[in-house]
Amino acid sequence: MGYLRIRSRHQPFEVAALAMAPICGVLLLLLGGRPTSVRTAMPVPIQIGWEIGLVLVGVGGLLGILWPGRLATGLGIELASVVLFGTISGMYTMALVVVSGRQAIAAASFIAALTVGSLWRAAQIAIDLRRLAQASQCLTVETAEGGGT
Amino acid sequence: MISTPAPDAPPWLQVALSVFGILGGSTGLVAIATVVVQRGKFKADAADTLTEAALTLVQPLQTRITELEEEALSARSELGVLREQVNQLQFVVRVLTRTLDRWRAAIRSPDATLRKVRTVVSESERLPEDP
Repeated sequence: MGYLRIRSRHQPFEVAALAMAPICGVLLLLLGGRPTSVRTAMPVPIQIGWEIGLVLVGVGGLLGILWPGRLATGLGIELASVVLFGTISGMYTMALVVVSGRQAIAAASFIAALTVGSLWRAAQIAIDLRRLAQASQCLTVETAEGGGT
Repeated sequence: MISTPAPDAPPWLQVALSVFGILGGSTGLVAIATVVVQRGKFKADAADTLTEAALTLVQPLQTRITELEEEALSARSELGVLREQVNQLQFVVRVLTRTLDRWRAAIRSPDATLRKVRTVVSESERLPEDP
Protein backbone atom coordinates (compact mmCIF):
# COMPACT_ATOMS: atom_id res chain seq x y z
CA MET A 1 0.00 0.00 0.00
CA GLY A 2 1.66 3.20 -1.14
CA TYR A 3 1.28 6.63 0.22
CA LEU A 4 -1.73 8.50 -0.97
CA ARG A 5 -0.87 11.99 -2.00
CA ILE A 6 -3.20 14.19 -3.97
CA ARG A 7 -1.43 17.10 -5.54
CA SER A 8 -2.44 20.56 -4.50
CA ARG A 9 -5.01 22.12 -6.75
CA HIS A 10 -3.96 25.67 -6.17
CA GLN A 11 -1.29 26.03 -8.78
CA PRO A 12 -0.62 29.64 -9.68
CA PHE A 13 -0.01 29.17 -13.38
CA GLU A 14 -3.07 27.03 -13.84
CA VAL A 15 -5.32 29.29 -11.80
CA ALA A 16 -4.08 32.41 -13.56
CA ALA A 17 -4.57 30.91 -17.00
CA LEU A 18 -8.01 29.58 -16.12
CA ALA A 19 -9.00 32.94 -14.66
CA MET A 20 -7.86 34.77 -17.74
CA ALA A 21 -9.65 32.45 -20.17
CA PRO A 22 -13.24 33.56 -19.50
CA ILE A 23 -12.24 37.22 -19.51
CA CYS A 24 -10.67 36.70 -22.90
CA GLY A 25 -13.68 34.74 -24.11
CA VAL A 26 -16.22 37.31 -22.93
CA LEU A 27 -14.25 40.15 -24.43
CA LEU A 28 -14.00 38.30 -27.73
CA LEU A 29 -17.71 37.53 -27.70
CA LEU A 30 -18.73 41.06 -26.73
CA LEU A 31 -16.31 43.05 -28.82
CA GLY A 32 -16.21 40.65 -31.72
CA GLY A 33 -12.53 41.05 -32.39
CA ARG A 34 -11.62 37.56 -33.33
CA PRO A 35 -7.96 36.99 -34.14
CA THR A 36 -7.36 36.69 -37.84
CA SER A 37 -5.73 33.33 -37.43
CA VAL A 38 -8.82 31.97 -35.72
CA ARG A 39 -11.08 33.58 -38.30
CA THR A 40 -9.24 32.09 -41.19
CA ALA A 41 -8.37 28.73 -39.74
CA MET A 42 -11.69 27.63 -38.31
CA PRO A 43 -15.18 27.34 -39.69
CA VAL A 44 -17.59 29.79 -38.09
CA PRO A 45 -19.38 27.33 -35.77
CA ILE A 46 -16.05 26.13 -34.49
CA GLN A 47 -15.00 29.74 -33.95
CA ILE A 48 -18.07 30.37 -31.83
CA GLY A 49 -17.54 27.12 -30.01
CA TRP A 50 -13.95 28.10 -29.43
CA GLU A 51 -14.96 31.40 -27.81
CA ILE A 52 -17.71 29.89 -25.70
CA GLY A 53 -15.25 27.15 -24.80
CA LEU A 54 -12.85 29.71 -23.42
CA VAL A 55 -15.54 31.03 -21.09
CA LEU A 56 -16.76 27.58 -20.07
CA VAL A 57 -13.26 26.28 -19.49
CA GLY A 58 -12.28 29.16 -17.27
CA VAL A 59 -15.45 29.12 -15.22
CA GLY A 60 -15.52 25.34 -15.02
CA GLY A 61 -11.88 25.06 -14.12
CA LEU A 62 -12.10 27.57 -11.31
CA LEU A 63 -15.31 25.92 -10.13
CA GLY A 64 -13.57 22.56 -10.08
CA ILE A 65 -10.60 23.94 -8.18
CA LEU A 66 -12.82 25.61 -5.60
CA TRP A 67 -15.36 22.77 -5.51
CA PRO A 68 -16.57 22.50 -1.91
CA GLY A 69 -18.05 19.02 -2.18
CA ARG A 70 -16.41 15.75 -2.96
CA LEU A 71 -12.79 15.89 -3.93
CA ALA A 72 -13.34 13.48 -6.81
CA THR A 73 -16.10 15.58 -8.33
CA GLY A 74 -14.00 18.72 -8.17
CA LEU A 75 -11.09 16.89 -9.74
CA GLY A 76 -13.35 15.58 -12.49
CA ILE A 77 -14.64 19.04 -13.35
CA GLU A 78 -11.11 20.34 -13.33
CA LEU A 79 -9.98 17.46 -15.51
CA ALA A 80 -12.64 18.20 -18.11
CA SER A 81 -11.81 21.90 -18.07
CA VAL A 82 -8.12 21.29 -18.38
CA VAL A 83 -8.56 18.88 -21.28
CA LEU A 84 -10.78 21.41 -23.03
CA PHE A 85 -8.32 24.17 -22.28
CA GLY A 86 -5.54 22.11 -23.79
CA THR A 87 -7.68 21.56 -26.85
CA ILE A 88 -8.60 25.21 -27.20
CA SER A 89 -5.08 26.48 -26.77
CA GLY A 90 -3.78 23.75 -29.05
CA MET A 91 -6.24 24.78 -31.75
CA TYR A 92 -5.15 28.38 -31.39
CA THR A 93 -1.51 27.36 -31.56
CA MET A 94 -2.05 25.41 -34.75
CA ALA A 95 -4.01 28.24 -36.28
CA LEU A 96 -1.37 30.77 -35.34
CA VAL A 97 1.52 28.69 -36.58
CA VAL A 98 -0.09 27.81 -39.89
CA VAL A 99 -1.58 31.21 -40.62
CA SER A 100 1.10 33.55 -39.34
CA GLY A 101 4.13 31.35 -39.59
CA ARG A 102 7.33 32.85 -38.40
CA GLN A 103 5.71 36.01 -37.07
CA ALA A 104 3.83 33.98 -34.50
CA ILE A 105 6.83 32.34 -32.84
CA ALA A 106 6.53 34.20 -29.54
CA ALA A 107 2.77 33.96 -29.18
CA ALA A 108 2.62 30.40 -30.42
CA SER A 109 5.31 29.16 -28.07
CA PHE A 110 3.57 30.54 -25.02
CA ILE A 111 0.23 29.20 -26.10
CA ALA A 112 1.84 25.87 -26.86
CA ALA A 113 3.19 25.92 -23.32
CA LEU A 114 -0.37 26.41 -22.12
CA THR A 115 -1.42 23.38 -24.14
CA VAL A 116 1.37 21.22 -22.78
CA GLY A 117 0.74 22.39 -19.23
CA SER A 118 -2.97 21.71 -19.51
CA LEU A 119 -2.50 18.20 -20.81
CA TRP A 120 0.18 17.58 -18.19
CA ARG A 121 -2.20 18.67 -15.48
CA ALA A 122 -4.89 16.48 -17.02
CA ALA A 123 -2.60 13.47 -16.76
CA GLN A 124 -1.83 14.36 -13.14
CA ILE A 125 -5.50 14.58 -12.30
CA ALA A 126 -6.17 11.28 -14.02
CA ILE A 127 -3.45 9.62 -11.91
CA ASP A 128 -4.78 11.27 -8.76
CA LEU A 129 -8.28 10.09 -9.52
CA ARG A 130 -7.08 6.55 -10.00
CA ARG A 131 -5.21 6.70 -6.71
CA LEU A 132 -8.27 8.08 -5.04
CA ALA A 133 -10.38 5.24 -6.37
CA GLN A 134 -7.82 2.70 -5.16
CA ALA A 135 -7.66 4.37 -1.78
CA SER A 136 -11.40 4.31 -1.30
CA GLN A 137 -11.36 0.66 -2.32
CA CYS A 138 -8.66 -0.03 0.27
CA LEU A 139 -10.67 1.87 2.80
CA THR A 140 -13.85 -0.13 2.22
CA VAL A 141 -11.93 -3.40 2.30
CA GLU A 142 -10.18 -2.36 5.49
CA THR A 143 -13.35 -1.35 7.26
CA ALA A 144 -14.97 -4.60 6.18
CA GLU A 145 -12.03 -6.56 7.60
CA GLY A 146 -12.07 -4.46 10.74
CA GLY A 147 -15.76 -5.21 11.22
CA GLY A 148 -15.07 -8.94 10.74
CA THR A 149 -12.40 -9.26 13.40
CA MET B 1 -2.70 42.02 -33.63
CA ILE B 2 -0.77 39.63 -35.72
CA SER B 3 -0.12 40.94 -39.16
CA THR B 4 -2.27 39.08 -41.56
CA PRO B 5 -1.40 37.42 -44.70
CA ALA B 6 -4.51 37.09 -46.83
CA PRO B 7 -7.02 34.61 -45.50
CA ASP B 8 -5.49 31.78 -47.42
CA ALA B 9 -5.43 29.25 -44.63
CA PRO B 10 -5.21 25.86 -46.22
CA PRO B 11 -8.49 24.01 -46.15
CA TRP B 12 -6.98 21.05 -44.36
CA LEU B 13 -6.35 23.35 -41.42
CA GLN B 14 -10.04 24.06 -41.01
CA VAL B 15 -10.82 20.37 -41.12
CA ALA B 16 -7.98 19.52 -38.77
CA LEU B 17 -8.95 22.17 -36.26
CA SER B 18 -12.59 21.15 -36.41
CA VAL B 19 -11.73 17.54 -35.81
CA PHE B 20 -9.29 18.50 -33.07
CA GLY B 21 -11.81 20.72 -31.37
CA ILE B 22 -14.60 18.19 -31.53
CA LEU B 23 -12.30 15.44 -30.29
CA GLY B 24 -11.01 17.53 -27.40
CA GLY B 25 -14.47 18.73 -26.48
CA SER B 26 -15.90 15.25 -26.44
CA THR B 27 -12.92 13.98 -24.45
CA GLY B 28 -13.58 16.60 -21.82
CA LEU B 29 -17.26 15.76 -21.73
CA VAL B 30 -16.48 12.05 -21.48
CA ALA B 31 -14.05 12.75 -18.65
CA ILE B 32 -16.54 14.65 -16.58
CA ALA B 33 -19.31 12.19 -17.40
CA THR B 34 -17.10 9.32 -16.30
CA VAL B 35 -16.30 10.95 -13.01
CA VAL B 36 -19.91 11.88 -12.37
CA VAL B 37 -21.16 8.40 -13.25
CA GLN B 38 -18.49 6.65 -11.21
CA ARG B 39 -18.95 8.89 -8.23
CA GLY B 40 -19.77 5.84 -6.15
CA LYS B 41 -16.28 4.55 -6.70
CA PHE B 42 -14.82 7.56 -5.00
CA LYS B 43 -16.32 7.14 -1.60
CA ALA B 44 -13.45 8.95 -0.04
CA ASP B 45 -13.96 12.67 0.23
CA ALA B 46 -11.19 14.92 1.39
CA ALA B 47 -11.52 13.92 5.03
CA ASP B 48 -11.46 10.23 4.20
CA THR B 49 -8.40 10.78 2.10
CA LEU B 50 -6.68 12.31 5.07
CA THR B 51 -7.73 9.43 7.25
CA GLU B 52 -6.49 6.98 4.69
CA ALA B 53 -3.19 8.80 4.44
CA ALA B 54 -2.92 8.80 8.20
CA LEU B 55 -3.67 5.08 8.24
CA THR B 56 -0.92 4.35 5.78
CA LEU B 57 1.42 6.36 7.95
CA VAL B 58 0.35 4.78 11.20
CA GLN B 59 0.22 1.19 10.07
CA PRO B 60 3.97 0.52 9.85
CA LEU B 61 4.36 2.13 13.23
CA GLN B 62 1.69 -0.12 14.65
CA THR B 63 3.34 -3.28 13.35
CA ARG B 64 6.64 -2.04 14.72
CA ILE B 65 5.05 -1.46 18.11
CA THR B 66 3.62 -4.97 18.16
CA GLU B 67 7.02 -6.40 17.29
CA LEU B 68 8.68 -4.38 20.02
CA GLU B 69 6.06 -5.40 22.54
CA GLU B 70 6.64 -9.05 21.74
CA GLU B 71 10.36 -8.55 22.06
CA ALA B 72 9.94 -6.80 25.39
CA LEU B 73 7.76 -9.62 26.64
CA SER B 74 10.26 -12.32 25.70
CA ALA B 75 13.10 -10.27 27.16
CA ARG B 76 11.19 -9.90 30.39
CA SER B 77 10.52 -13.64 30.71
CA GLU B 78 14.15 -14.38 29.94
CA LEU B 79 15.13 -11.91 32.63
CA GLY B 80 12.90 -13.77 35.09
CA VAL B 81 14.56 -17.08 34.26
CA LEU B 82 18.01 -15.57 34.62
CA ARG B 83 17.15 -13.96 37.92
CA GLU B 84 15.97 -17.29 39.26
CA GLN B 85 19.18 -18.93 38.16
CA VAL B 86 21.16 -16.19 39.87
CA ASN B 87 19.17 -16.76 43.05
CA GLN B 88 19.91 -20.45 42.97
CA LEU B 89 23.57 -19.82 42.36
CA GLN B 90 23.68 -17.38 45.26
CA PHE B 91 22.09 -20.01 47.43
CA VAL B 92 24.67 -22.59 46.37
CA VAL B 93 27.49 -20.15 47.02
CA ARG B 94 26.15 -19.44 50.48
CA VAL B 95 25.91 -23.14 51.28
CA LEU B 96 29.38 -23.78 49.97
CA THR B 97 30.81 -20.88 51.96
CA ARG B 98 29.17 -22.18 55.08
CA THR B 99 30.57 -25.66 54.44
CA LEU B 100 34.00 -24.25 53.83
CA ASP B 101 33.80 -22.25 57.06
CA ARG B 102 32.78 -25.30 58.98
CA TRP B 103 35.64 -27.34 57.55
CA ARG B 104 38.12 -24.62 58.23
CA ALA B 105 36.88 -24.32 61.77
CA ALA B 106 37.15 -28.08 62.18
CA ILE B 107 40.68 -28.09 60.82
CA ARG B 108 41.81 -25.13 62.84
CA SER B 109 40.28 -26.12 66.14
CA PRO B 110 43.06 -26.78 68.66
CA ASP B 111 41.85 -30.29 69.37
CA ALA B 112 41.55 -31.20 65.69
CA THR B 113 42.23 -34.77 64.80
CA LEU B 114 42.05 -36.45 61.46
CA ARG B 115 39.04 -38.42 62.52
CA LYS B 116 37.10 -35.38 63.69
CA VAL B 117 37.86 -33.60 60.45
CA ARG B 118 36.74 -36.63 58.49
CA THR B 119 33.49 -36.77 60.40
CA VAL B 120 32.79 -33.11 59.72
CA VAL B 121 33.56 -33.57 56.04
CA SER B 122 31.45 -36.66 55.70
CA GLU B 123 28.56 -34.93 57.50
CA SER B 124 28.58 -32.01 55.16
CA GLU B 125 28.77 -34.13 52.07
CA ARG B 126 25.06 -33.89 51.64
CA LEU B 127 25.43 -30.88 49.44
CA PRO B 128 22.32 -29.80 47.65
CA GLU B 129 23.63 -30.58 44.21
CA ASP B 130 20.41 -30.51 42.39
CA PRO B 131 19.75 -26.82 42.12
